[in-house]
Amino acid sequence: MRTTLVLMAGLLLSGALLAAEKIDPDLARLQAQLDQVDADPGLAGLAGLERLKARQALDALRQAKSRDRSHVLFLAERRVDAAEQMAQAELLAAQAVQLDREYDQLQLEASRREAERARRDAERLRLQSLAREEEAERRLEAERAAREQSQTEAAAASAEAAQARKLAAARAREAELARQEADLTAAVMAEASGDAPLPPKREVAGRTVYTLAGNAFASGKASLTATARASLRSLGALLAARQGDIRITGHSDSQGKASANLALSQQRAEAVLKALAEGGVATARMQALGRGQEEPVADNATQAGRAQNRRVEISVK
Amino acid sequence: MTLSSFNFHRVAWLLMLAVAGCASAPPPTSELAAAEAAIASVERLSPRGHAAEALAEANRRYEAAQRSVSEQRYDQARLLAEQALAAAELAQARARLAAARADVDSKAARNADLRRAQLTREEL
Repeated sequence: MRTTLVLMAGLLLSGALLAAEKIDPDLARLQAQLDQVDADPGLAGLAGLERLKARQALDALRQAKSRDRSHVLFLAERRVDAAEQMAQAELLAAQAVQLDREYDQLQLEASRREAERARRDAERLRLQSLAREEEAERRLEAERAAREQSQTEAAAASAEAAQARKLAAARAREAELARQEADLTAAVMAEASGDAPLPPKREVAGRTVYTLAGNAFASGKASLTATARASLRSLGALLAARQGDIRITGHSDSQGKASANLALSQQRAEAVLKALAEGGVATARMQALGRGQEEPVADNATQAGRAQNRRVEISVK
Repeated sequence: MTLSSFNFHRVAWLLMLAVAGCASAPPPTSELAAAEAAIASVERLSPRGHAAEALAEANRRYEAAQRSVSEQRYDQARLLAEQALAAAELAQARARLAAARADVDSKAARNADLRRAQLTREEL
């Protein structure tokens, strides 16, 4: 009886040893899965806690008694899975941070480029006004030289010589004053062009349309306000640097007589054309047209709607 | 050995067993609490797909653990609570991965849009 028991115990023990030596396929599979995560250099250092739990779960599986095995295997499978998923999640989170940084960088570069472009525009306007001023000075100089010559000839009579010199001096003073005035105009223009904002724009059927609101003009008149003039000068400088035709269309609200509105909108469109020409745009590229009250963009029954309808649109290819 | 003394021995033995049982396996209160907290924190992420599957499994194991407690099978309850916790933590990892993937996708699209917009402004 006792010998049989010992024999049976021996058999059981050797069976257990054999089972332990045999490779556990579940353990091998999970170990391989975790090893793969550990071997990925991109995932290095990520999900440390989850990997630790997975390793502990695999150790427990290695040492599990057959009674506990299904429980320990359940835990190990989930722990290894969680380690893999969490490592990838943390990798993606790092990428999201990188993308945020890239976004900030893009915005920064854009604003830098914008500032650089504004600086170049201002510089070009300054050079243009300088050129105009020099041209005016040359003209004055030529006129004066012509007058001096005629006066020298006339001064054969000595009685008139003194008078001629006085006249020449007066002309020189006049020229000096004119030059100072030109300097002043150029300075004002450079200042205006430096910070006058462009009129608001939108894109319509492949063309860029700048809209000058009704308050750009004196009420009921076609004369531009100083602000609108400065804004148009900026726009003129911008458009002068580009190609393509420019259509200027004046619109009015429906207050008053239609014929009067048509005439005013035409005059306003022409005033804008002139202001753009002053800004350096070739007149041949431009075309001004008044449409009166025929093309409202808002309700003429309200004050705000009428204000929107009184406008000049500058459409650029 | 009289009948009464036999009964006394038997009652004492059963009492000892009960006390020993209580000492070796009290109700797995902390395991249940940990599983419950993990499940609640995943539910806040309102997971979908694989994460939702893992969460459902965690909930099933947790409910089974509660049933085992009411049947006073505390060993069984502890194992089920541990399984519920592991399943809930897997659901958490899956939900985090899905959220991170969506975040990266939307941010990459946003950056591409900005880059395109800047290119067209340059051309103007």
